[in-house]
Amino acid sequence: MKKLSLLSCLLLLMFGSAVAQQIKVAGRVTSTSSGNAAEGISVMAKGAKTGTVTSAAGDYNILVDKAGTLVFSGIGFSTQEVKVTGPVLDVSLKNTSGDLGEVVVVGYGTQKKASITGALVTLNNEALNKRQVTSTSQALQGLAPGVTVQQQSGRPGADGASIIIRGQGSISGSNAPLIIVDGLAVGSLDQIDPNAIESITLLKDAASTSIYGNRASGGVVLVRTKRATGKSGMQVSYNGFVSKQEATAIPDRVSAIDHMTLSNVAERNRTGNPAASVFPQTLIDLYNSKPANNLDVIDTDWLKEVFTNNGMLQNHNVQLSTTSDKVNLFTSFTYMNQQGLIPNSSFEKYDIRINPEFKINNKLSLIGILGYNTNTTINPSTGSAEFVIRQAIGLPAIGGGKFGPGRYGNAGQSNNRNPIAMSEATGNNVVTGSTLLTRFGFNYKPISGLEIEAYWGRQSTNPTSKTFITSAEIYQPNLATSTYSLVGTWPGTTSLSQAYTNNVYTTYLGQATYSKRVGEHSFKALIGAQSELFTNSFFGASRTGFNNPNQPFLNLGTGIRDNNAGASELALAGFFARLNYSYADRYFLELNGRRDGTSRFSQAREKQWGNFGAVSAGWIFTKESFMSGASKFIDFGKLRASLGGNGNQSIGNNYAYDAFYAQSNYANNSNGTNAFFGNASNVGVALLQFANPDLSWETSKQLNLGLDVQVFKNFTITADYYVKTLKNMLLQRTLPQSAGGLANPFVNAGNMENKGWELSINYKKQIGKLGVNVTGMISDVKNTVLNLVQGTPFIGDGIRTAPGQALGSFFGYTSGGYFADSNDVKASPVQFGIPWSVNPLVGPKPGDVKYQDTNGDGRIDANDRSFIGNTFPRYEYSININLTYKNFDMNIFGQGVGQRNNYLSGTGAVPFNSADFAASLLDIHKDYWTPTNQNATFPRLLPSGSGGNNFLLASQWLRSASYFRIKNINIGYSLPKTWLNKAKINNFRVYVSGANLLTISKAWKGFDPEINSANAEFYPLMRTYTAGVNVTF
Amino acid sequence: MKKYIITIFTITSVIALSSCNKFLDRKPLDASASSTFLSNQSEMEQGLIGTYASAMWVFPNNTPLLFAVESSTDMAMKRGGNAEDNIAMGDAGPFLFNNSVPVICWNQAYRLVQRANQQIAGMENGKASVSAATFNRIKAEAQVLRAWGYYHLMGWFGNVPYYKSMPGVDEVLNATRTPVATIVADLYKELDEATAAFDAAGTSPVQVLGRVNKGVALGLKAKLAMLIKDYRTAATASKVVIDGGNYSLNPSFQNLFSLAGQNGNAGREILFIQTYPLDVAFPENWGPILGVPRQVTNSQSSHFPSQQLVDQFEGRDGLRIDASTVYNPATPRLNRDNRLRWSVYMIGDTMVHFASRTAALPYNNLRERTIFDVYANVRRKFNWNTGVYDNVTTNNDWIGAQAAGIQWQVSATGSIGGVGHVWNKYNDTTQYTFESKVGFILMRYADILQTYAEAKIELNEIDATVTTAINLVRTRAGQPAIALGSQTAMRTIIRRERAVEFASEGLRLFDLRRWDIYAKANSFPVVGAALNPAVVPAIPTFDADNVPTYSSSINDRIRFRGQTRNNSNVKYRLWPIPQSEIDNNLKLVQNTGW
Repeated sequence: MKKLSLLSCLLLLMFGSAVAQQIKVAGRVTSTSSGNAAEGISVMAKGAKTGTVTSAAGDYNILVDKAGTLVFSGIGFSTQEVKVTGPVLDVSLKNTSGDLGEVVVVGYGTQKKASITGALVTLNNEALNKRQVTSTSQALQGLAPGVTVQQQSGRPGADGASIIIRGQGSISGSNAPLIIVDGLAVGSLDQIDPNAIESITLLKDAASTSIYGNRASGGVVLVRTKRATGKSGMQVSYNGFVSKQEATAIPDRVSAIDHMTLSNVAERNRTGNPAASVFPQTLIDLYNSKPANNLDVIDTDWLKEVFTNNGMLQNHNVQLSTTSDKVNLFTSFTYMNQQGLIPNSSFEKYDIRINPEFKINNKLSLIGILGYNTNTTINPSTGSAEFVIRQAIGLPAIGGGKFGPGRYGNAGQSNNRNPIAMSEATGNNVVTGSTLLTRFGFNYKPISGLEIEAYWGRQSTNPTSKTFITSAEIYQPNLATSTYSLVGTWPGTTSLSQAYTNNVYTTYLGQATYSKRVGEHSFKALIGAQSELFTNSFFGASRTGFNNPNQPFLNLGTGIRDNNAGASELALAGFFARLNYSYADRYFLELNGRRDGTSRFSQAREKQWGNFGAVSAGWIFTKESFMSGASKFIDFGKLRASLGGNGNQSIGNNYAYDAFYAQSNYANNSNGTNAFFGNASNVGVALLQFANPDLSWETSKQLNLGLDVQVFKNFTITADYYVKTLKNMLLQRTLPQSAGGLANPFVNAGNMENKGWELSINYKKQIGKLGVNVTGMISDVKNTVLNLVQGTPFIGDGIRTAPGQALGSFFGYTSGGYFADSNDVKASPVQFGIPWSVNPLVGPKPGDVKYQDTNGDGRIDANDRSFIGNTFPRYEYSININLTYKNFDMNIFGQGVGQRNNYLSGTGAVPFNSADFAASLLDIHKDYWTPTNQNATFPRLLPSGSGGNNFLLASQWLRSASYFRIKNINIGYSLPKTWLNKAKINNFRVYVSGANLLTISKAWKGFDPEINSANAEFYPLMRTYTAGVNVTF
Repeated sequence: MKKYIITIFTITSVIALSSCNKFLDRKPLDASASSTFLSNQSEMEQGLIGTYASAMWVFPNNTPLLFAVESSTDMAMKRGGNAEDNIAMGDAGPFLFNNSVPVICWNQAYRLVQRANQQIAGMENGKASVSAATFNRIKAEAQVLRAWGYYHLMGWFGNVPYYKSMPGVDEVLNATRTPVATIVADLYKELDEATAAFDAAGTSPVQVLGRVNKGVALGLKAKLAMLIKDYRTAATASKVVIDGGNYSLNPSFQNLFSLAGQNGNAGREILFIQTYPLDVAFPENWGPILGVPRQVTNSQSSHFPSQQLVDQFEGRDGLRIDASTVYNPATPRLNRDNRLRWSVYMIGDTMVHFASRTAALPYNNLRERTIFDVYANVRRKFNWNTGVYDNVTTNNDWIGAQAAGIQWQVSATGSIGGVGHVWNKYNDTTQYTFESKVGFILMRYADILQTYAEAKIELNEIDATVTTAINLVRTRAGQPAIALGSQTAMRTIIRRERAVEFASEGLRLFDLRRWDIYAKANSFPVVGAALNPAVVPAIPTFDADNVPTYSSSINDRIRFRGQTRNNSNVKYRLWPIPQSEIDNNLKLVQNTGW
């Protein structure tokens, strides 16, 4: 698209605009209570029929008689009449009911809260900073009903939460909401420092999101960073805190003696021989008679050996803000250092932001935004931190851990892999990320009511990754000499690989907004166009054979060299318009429309463009005369309704519409495209994906009904009900592997529905010196797949998507307890074709899981599987209590999920699990079946690999993961002003806080209920204890 | 004013929209469109390489697939609890319908088939730009690779969906199984066409290692014929290769399994091989490292030869061990067919491994020399300084470790160290075992000779060409020549020859199925070398099919995880079709019994 033509058009508008030749008054309208600009305030000469409306910045200018009077009025403010005294007239309006007069950020503009007809939630800086979080996304949890925020990991640098607005949004496409920071689409909310955020608006329904058309199907998160406003002069503030982090939940392991005893139990169960043993009794007796000495009696506490990092977190933020006639400037600088629980697990970031505004004159200002973030994430290089932790949870205590500095035990593993060595001695992976977000543009107000804005924006992110693998020395006790002998090195090779990625996002935007008020009729029209281009390129190189473990530089590699590169791009273009109309500040109507094009679909088949739109209306019924009798208890009431559509094209693949020959490096089981003749690489190509040229937009339709009321002065209630239907979902149609193992084609097929409701109640009152502000929220959404593409009855195997079910439901067997005895086995349907056998090694035995014959065909096989549950959270709720008393303040924040399931598998469910390593068992596994413990949690103990049928995907391993958690308690004390004034300090607050202090849940012991399906491979969430200080000068 | 703005914006939008199409027209920056590609010879060759790439079959990770599959047969075993082990165990595994080995085999073979189909279709874009001979030669290579895929699919699964062009979505969701005989008949034609194309193009019989040519086309035709017991076609096709005179045996059996030897390819014995690149790190061949016993530094053993295999090797006098006069059960590694020591390290053998990248004297001289032992908790390492063997404490192969409870084997799994034998074949002492680049042979001339011999024996046309074919292979190993014999006698010999010649090379499963002895041969208590070196286990007895029985010596031998294999169920004649295939195509019927 010709961005230039658009810009020049806007410039034309600037010069072409008519300038009236009359006496003019200009000024700024602000809110008395907050000091913020008051938008949408009607400004009229007394007695006149027409007037103007204040802009988003609260500015207005109007023609008026020299000795006239101006009338300022708007919802949420008491009407004020002011006599004209000169060309400049600033007015501060008194708020009448709550924050209804405040202005909130909406798509491509702002709007007064009272006049909003869609469903959205705005969170200000104060609400976001109640909790001391390491990733911005975490702070959203529990603050907005209908917004599911799930943190799945506590790993430094990767502890951001997923944000899902109003339920699962797509099957194969991205489900994530569009994140817009100061008008620029960014990949992750976490790249924005929470300290620098002025507000976050979560757009939930179609009315508020369809202005974003192409990517707004999953909702929109609008972030506005701080700008310098208000008082002139310099403001400086410092916020800093230090936290100690520890794991919220970790499974209990068993001791060396338990491991040996229970291994013998398992071996006896397997062989049917009551004398069988893996560990002789003499050895167990030795362990019983002697304390662990790391030689002949080894009892390694793997977790303790691995959790040697201190888990400290520190965060410092300095902000400077200054305003003057010509320049407003906001700057913020943040440093954060977060240490994980294991060595080589840390995150460090520097974040700097400079937001200037240059006021050329009353009409034109230039606005710049510059955010730079650089961070370093360190992880172990020979395995993920999660894998290190899973091993530490699962390895037998009899395996040698560490015998001294640089001397690692063989861990009881055949390959000598040792998680302690992995975490601290075999190199690391260092990812250095830098993000530069820039925007520059102008804001021009040629005539009263008209505001033209245009900008160019660019975000570049440049992660560079460096993975260095070195070897650790592995030892084994030598009982004869009571020393340790070297048995080898692990992993035995050295290598270095480096990768450089360059992601650039560029956007041009031009838009114009015109506001006008004629009598009781208010209009506001927006029209604009935007283009966006995403480009990605990367290259990587590696070598092997490094002789010096302290010099990780490619040029020193003596072994094999390899390299790779690639690039792709995605272009989007859109035209949008919005019209707001209100009558008597009581009836509201909004129309939204957008036409969007994407390069992801076929141009030849004209699949690129889609049209999206929404209509919404609001009615403040408390303004009606028939409500006057109720005014004692109801202060404000508004009904809202909206209906509209959105699109989605986020399939990750930029070229799914056509088949392309591509190169692909060798990978296990996928071959790649290179062949090796005569020991040399030959670069080939192949078609790697099934193409679908008819691929086009996925669309969603959403109906929203809402109610906002204020009752009994202190209660504010917001309720919403919605039905969201997704059509022509971008579905990756699973093909049999006989199709050649190509990437499955995307098709437009399948419909899905999310039905939900949201309720939020706030109580706010000052009782003497005690200030109370309590918010409670609850919401629910139910997801149902309506249908799938013809010929595809379902997608996925164990985790299956099928009509009538929630997306990705568990499809497995129904457990019916355990076989009580051999007669029970004989009398029950034959499981998997293997009937009762006296041979202890063949077929099911007492204590094995008895599956239910759900299809009644007299045998248990794959046809007995059914839908047994899903992991969708239902009935999410939260309570947020804020109290102030004199100089003390307190926040208690609790959040929970009423209904949800978690699935236990792998090292979590299976004693002696053999995937990846020879495991021990967990404390929870001690409740295993025996003839005298028939109602056990786990089946009879069996050695690794022998309990296959007991651990099929089955209802047995699905367990409630509903929870209630005290997410945050924060107690602060502000030093008395009388002391501070002497030191020229405005405010000095100290506080202590704790996060995740208490959890109530029925989840598996040791497994955090917030973390999805548990195989014991996770990085725990953190319980943190924090002390901090806020100072404002 | 508003009107003015809207007009301007409308005009701008129209201008912008028209140029928008250009802005939104984005093609991949690092790939080529199928509508234009494969339009000239170099592009066709590039596509062909992509097809060859999918002939690199591995499971798991970088282990050659056919080597892994071998561990599910009577000739070998895999460390317990794995997919290969479950297959080997049959009912006792159990071998379930969702076992990952058949899934991987199915997936990889069909990837090859469809890449070949892509190639053959895509080449049509450039048919006019190359000579017919070149076009047909490139196509012929793709045809042979496609047939290679189907050969294995049929051997593993029986009837399978037969695609000769890249299927559409609906086609693949509604495919049915084509009978093996129909597919083989069609592949004969395909391979004949390919053979003619290689001839017309004058393709050299000494192509670079890793590519297919006329010899492979004919050899594959013979193997396909053996699959359906069409011995006439098998004999004819293999005879063409033999008579062509382009191939002969490598005088050194061991050179077939080392990188340098493969590069020399003396006698051009190797017809088809998956080679590994020396210019990039991956892929590597993980077969060798999975055979290195735990008493060697940085070892990873998980695949082991079986006693059944070891006992197939004749005495040096050319007689089976139960008849041999030179075989002594107390010293089973001595006086045997040389191929035994070239293939298997037995207790007492001196092993050499390239065990570490960094030499740590005295035991690692890069090459580590160890005397294989499982009876004591010491490793016997050659000391390069003193020139004598030192006893180094702790031996991870020590069979007493479990009882003592102090070794890595002390997991609940019991013994996982095999039965006292480890692989030597493919152990290239010039290659660091973790990064081995030694190729995995897919077809060699010895197989052609033996295929010819077996076909002629089954046709009962036993003549001097048969004994010549067998004896060429035998005499290379130093075994005495055999004379003409009865069909039954010859059948016993050829079956034993195939077992010992191709141990670990991945041919055994198809052999057992062709001979209809899979159930019998692969049902036994898994025992091995003597449990106590002082107690010599009795020599096994053999039945008419060379299948040994150890009933008299079970308790005197090392027992692998208490295992007893049980493959008596007839369903094990074929593998189950992966469940996900059936889930995605309801017209696909599962094999009987699964």
